[in-house]
Amino acid sequence: MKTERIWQADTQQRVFRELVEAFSRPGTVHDLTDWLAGSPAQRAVLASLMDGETTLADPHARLGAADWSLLQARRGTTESARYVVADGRRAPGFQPVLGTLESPESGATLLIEVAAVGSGPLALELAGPGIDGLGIDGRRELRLDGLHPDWLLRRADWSAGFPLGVDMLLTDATRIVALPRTTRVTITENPLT
Amino acid sequence: MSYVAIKGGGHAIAGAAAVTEYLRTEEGLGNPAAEPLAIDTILHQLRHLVDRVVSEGGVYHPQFAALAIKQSLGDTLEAAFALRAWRSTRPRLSATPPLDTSRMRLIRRISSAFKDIPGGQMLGPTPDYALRLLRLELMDESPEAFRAVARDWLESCPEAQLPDSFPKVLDALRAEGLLPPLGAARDETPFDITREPLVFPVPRSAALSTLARAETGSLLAIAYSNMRGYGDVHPTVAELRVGYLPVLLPHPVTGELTEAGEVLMTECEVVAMYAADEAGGKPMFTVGYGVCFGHNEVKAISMAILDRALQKGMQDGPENPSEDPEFVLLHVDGVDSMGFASHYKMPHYVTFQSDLDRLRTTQQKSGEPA
Amino acid sequence: MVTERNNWIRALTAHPVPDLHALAERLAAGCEVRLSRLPQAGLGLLQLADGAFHEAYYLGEFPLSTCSLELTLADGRRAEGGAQVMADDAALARSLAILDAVLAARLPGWETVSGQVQSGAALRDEEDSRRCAMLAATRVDFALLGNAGEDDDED
Repeated sequence: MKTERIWQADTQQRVFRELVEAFSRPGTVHDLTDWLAGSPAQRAVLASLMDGETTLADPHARLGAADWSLLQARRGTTESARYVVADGRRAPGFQPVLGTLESPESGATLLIEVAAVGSGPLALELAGPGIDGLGIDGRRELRLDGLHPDWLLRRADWSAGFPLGVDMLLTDATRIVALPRTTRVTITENPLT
Repeated sequence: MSYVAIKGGGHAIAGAAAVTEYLRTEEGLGNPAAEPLAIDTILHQLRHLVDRVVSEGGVYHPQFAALAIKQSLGDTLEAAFALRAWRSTRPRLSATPPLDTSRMRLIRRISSAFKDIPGGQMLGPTPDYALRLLRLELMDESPEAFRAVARDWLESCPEAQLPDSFPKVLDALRAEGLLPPLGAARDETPFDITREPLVFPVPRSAALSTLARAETGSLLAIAYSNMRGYGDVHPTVAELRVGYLPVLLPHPVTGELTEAGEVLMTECEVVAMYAADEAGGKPMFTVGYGVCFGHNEVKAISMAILDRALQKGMQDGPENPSEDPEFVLLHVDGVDSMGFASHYKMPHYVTFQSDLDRLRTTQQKSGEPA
Repeated sequence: MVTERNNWIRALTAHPVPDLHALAERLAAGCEVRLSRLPQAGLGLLQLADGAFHEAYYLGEFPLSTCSLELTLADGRRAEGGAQVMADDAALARSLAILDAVLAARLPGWETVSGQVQSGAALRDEEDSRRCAMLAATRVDFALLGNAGEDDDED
């Protein structure tokens, strides 16, 4: 029976562990190659996080009917879904759920696929919980390739009303990095300027 | 409230578990014929005990309920707790569409409102008419005699010809205009008590779910208070059914409702004192509904009385505790209530030390000269 | 009497689980199996309509295992199968889904599955008739009271 490795419980537990680490130390890059067996990292993250009680929006039509059937997530709109899966090379073009003051955690988690995580022409300087006091001078640098510039502009809007906001998980084929809403981002090198 | 860290108690706690297991297996000391309780034995010979735990655990898994009874040495509250703990580890996959209980494969069906009901009255397995005398012959029941009983009964029972369907008594009363008509079909999703806390006022579906997995004794006591006069229900059992309900889900490929399994359940519908409706229309009987997993009639009857009492309390304001949704629904869950009672046994040393200090200070001050 | 597809689960689960696994493994050996819904063991919510007002409510939960898959034979023939069974056993759902696919599309070995469905249905019929016997043996025949005075037990 052919089943992708990402559907197996031990793989999903490992991926989940890496997600916990990534969100605890924003800006640190985690390589999932050992557990992917060829599946893209974004797909492995979806396999680990989705179930019949989560809502997922797919504005860039990245998932086929067979994927939805395997993930079992409930299809939602970008305005209401707890998770959004997206192509980072395209502009966001949507307004995600930001949460409420009573339940800020109900803000969406955006799963964004880019060309490269940890290398590339876009350099970001990160600060905030999980970063301050660590790294060089209490800051962490993150390099990316293939993230449409609108994402960081919109992120600033979405997280302006902290604790409301969204949390981002960027992935390339094998690596993940988290930018929760608590992380302050400064662009230090921008390929467009 | 603070609890002192359990340091130095680890050895005693491990010892307590071992001592409990020792008591559970003490029968085996010097007795080569001692056998551990088989799960099947508990399932079959203590079926009402299993049904109580299934119902209070809130998940239909009779085998695990039997296991919970075995490991808790027969403590129903602990057993229900263990079953609830198990269910909390399982993912929610789906919900059935609203199923129709007239599809029950009956083993018992009675009415105390009417003698003749369509389909007839069948007592089924009930101790209702038994003399409550101890059956001393069961003190020393031989395996041969035990095995002969079921075998003989099967051989002696005649081929049965029964009606195909057993229409609900309430439907006949409703057709005659004696019951409130059914409201327009609402598309509301029922309240899921496993996902949302009760924040009052709650819809009736929340009350029904809460009562269905409530602790039997708690329901009985509050319902009894209503029956004895702290209430106004005066019920008659229109119908009591016990049977196996097919659990239907749409087939993943064809979409047709397919039987995934069956659950044993008890369902009780009571008809209570009639009342004129709010708009000053025809007076009608009022109705109460009780239901639970397993064969547990006292629970279903109690629940039906409380359903009726809570309806009245919601409409007219509660005049008795049994009519007050907050009083009833917050105090009938066995795991909640037993958990709170049991927590008093946990170390409260720090809290109590401050109580001691406060009392001594107060006593000192009151002893001082004026 | 032919058992309809929506009663196959009831019929097949009358047999011991290891027998169902063995049969499914044997029949799927020559096929490519593609899972469309992963075998999962979890819980279902039992939704009923109450007898008083036909309002929907949840009675409680039950163990539920599900699986959907597609079998493809070497000659290209395909069959979709699915199973939802009241059990805490994802592997059982998978085996039942395979048997569902084989029987529905009459793939090689379907006659054996059909036989298991018929014999399982017969076992269920026996269970049903035992329950009917309990009802018949305890049926109250009010005619026997004749015209004797009514015995009305009031509180």
